[in-house]
Amino acid sequence: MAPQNSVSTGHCCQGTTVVEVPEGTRKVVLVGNPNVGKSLFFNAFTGLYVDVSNYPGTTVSISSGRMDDYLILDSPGVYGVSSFNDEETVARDVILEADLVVNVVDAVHLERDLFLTQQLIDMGLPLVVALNMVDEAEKRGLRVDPAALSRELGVPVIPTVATRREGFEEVKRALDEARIGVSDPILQDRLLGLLDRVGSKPEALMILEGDPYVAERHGVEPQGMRDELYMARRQRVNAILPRVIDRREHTLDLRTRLGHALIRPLTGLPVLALTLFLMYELIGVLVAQTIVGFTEGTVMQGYVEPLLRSAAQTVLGDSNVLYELVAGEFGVLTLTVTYVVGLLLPLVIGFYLMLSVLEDSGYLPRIAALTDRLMTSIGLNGRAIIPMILGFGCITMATITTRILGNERERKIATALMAFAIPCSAQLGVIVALLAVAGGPEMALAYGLIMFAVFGLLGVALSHYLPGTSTSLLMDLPPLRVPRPINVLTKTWYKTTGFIREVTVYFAAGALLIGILQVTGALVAAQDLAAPLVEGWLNLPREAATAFIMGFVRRDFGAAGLYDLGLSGPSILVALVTITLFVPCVASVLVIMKERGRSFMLFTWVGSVVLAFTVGGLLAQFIGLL
Amino acid sequence: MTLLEAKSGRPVRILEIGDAQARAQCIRLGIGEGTVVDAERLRVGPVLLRHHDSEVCLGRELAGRILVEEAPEANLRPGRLESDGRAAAGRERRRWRFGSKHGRR
Repeated sequence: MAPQNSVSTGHCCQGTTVVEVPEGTRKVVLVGNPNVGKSLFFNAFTGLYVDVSNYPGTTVSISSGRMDDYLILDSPGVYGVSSFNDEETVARDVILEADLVVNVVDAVHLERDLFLTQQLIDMGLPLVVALNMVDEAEKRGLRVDPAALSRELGVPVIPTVATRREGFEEVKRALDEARIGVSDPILQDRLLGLLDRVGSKPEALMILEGDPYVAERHGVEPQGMRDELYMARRQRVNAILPRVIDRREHTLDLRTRLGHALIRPLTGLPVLALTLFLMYELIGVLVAQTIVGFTEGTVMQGYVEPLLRSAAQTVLGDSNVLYELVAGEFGVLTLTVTYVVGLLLPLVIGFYLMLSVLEDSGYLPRIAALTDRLMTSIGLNGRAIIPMILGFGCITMATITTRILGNERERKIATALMAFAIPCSAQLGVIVALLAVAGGPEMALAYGLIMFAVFGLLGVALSHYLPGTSTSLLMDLPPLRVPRPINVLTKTWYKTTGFIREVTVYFAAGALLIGILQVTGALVAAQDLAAPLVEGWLNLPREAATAFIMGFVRRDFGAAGLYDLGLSGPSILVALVTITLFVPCVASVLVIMKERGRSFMLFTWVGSVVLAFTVGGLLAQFIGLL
Repeated sequence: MTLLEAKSGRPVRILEIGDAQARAQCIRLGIGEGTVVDAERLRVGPVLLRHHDSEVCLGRELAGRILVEEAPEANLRPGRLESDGRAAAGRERRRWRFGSKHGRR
């Protein structure tokens, strides 16, 4: 690795460069705990021209933009600098490259936020503190003295109300006055001792605090002083607090009470049920049926596909293998475009929009708290509710989101559960329609109960047999807030484009794979192979085999195939249970392979075939006995 | 006793957090060993720790690895109180408890 300059000299030559900077530009990194209003500062400083890049291997994105001679970088919200999860790893790497830091703190939660502030000071980074939400603190009976806080920390402290754009100009002006704050002299001595080996003070602190990744970069052993340093830092922050905060008596406000009601089962579960119902109406009905019907059916199949086909014809001629692969029934060009733009795009936008609203309102962590106990019984914790919800949109999207889970064991459990037992929205639309044909509410109830039971049993089994232990929930509950539309929209936009960019290639690869299977006749062979099993064991007509095999191409193709068979009620139930449990679509299989490795992909693939035919068959035999 | 065995809705003093990463994260959030918090065991759910103006949710498995003792007094908010006096502090405590009444059996 290249020799390192101290960050404060204004140069940067790390091996982990996030954004390239021209000479003479100073990198300002916005750092803060989650939900402190950092993004409002970023938007105000940089304006419209921002660059958002997804950090490789994570769902975490970094925004950067220019302001005068400064390059402003937004970092993910964290409670401290280390590498406990993806957000922290990304934040750490951005912070290690900083020339100076604007630390946004929440005046209501100073006790929590000043820990990070003091850590940044201990790193020796030039700092400006934006004391945000001073208005909210006032309302809660807390008055923070910025001048006193500035004296204690040794850095400029600017009171702000980001939602009303108050204090932004003052923070900008203070950038030139950013200073290295007051740190423990003994700690600073220790850091100096490491400096000749490591080259930069921030990295030296990371190594003292036992960060294994930073230590490895420098070829030194991480030192196990984290507990000691953390406790000392906590004590210092706790000593500062009474000197800077005045408080008046204050009763619990409505918001706090509402927050409590949402995590108590008696009140929380009905609200959750209502939320899920609204989500279903909005995404399951409005987006998945009405909007997708238009984008996929009218726009894509009506206009775009014929256009692509005739273009392919002109170039390749028709009725040859190449044409079939490019623009045939499962052509790379036609199928990918229709699927990604016509079907996925509206659904993914819908899901991320909803998720952003839930996240920004502070309700999402409360759903996680409410469902934590249930999730622990299947070896997950409350956080896993996020990929599970997304799974009903698109298993591919949800599989990528399992990156937020605590460890690989949890990611495996969640991935397998979704691949096996959660129907994605494409499939769900057809399932709902078929259930209506099958006989209404009773059939829907039976289907729901069977799927829920399979999901639960599978979860318990996976949790029992997969080695290792899962992590426990440990989560700070943010206050409830009305989400800001602009934040919700930008978040949705970046997440959607990030997702589409990442997965389109897998959908194309999937289409190509299926195209090859079709051209070589493997698809028909597979259908013939499955036919006896379908007839004899599932008691379904021979043609249903085609539907199952098509389910591999796109899960909804499979379900739609059942539609034309004119099945009766109980047979529809058997067919639907089987097809839901049957293999995930080829794109998600590829993403599972990328995220979890080939052997795990094979496990879910083979496992889902076995599970689908076992459960479906048992159900068929049971119905036969009635 | 562990946090799981503590009486729900009562202040407790954290003695030991038996998981290195959780210990670090708790210290960041303001809950170190020695801190007095208000602990509420949610029905069919995690344990909710209330400390000053923040609320932290802990999974039950983790809560079972946290040793606590009963604490008579809980300073539930940070900073110095303007209207000094014990009566006021007591009043405030009662108000906080009132807020968490529904979750206690």
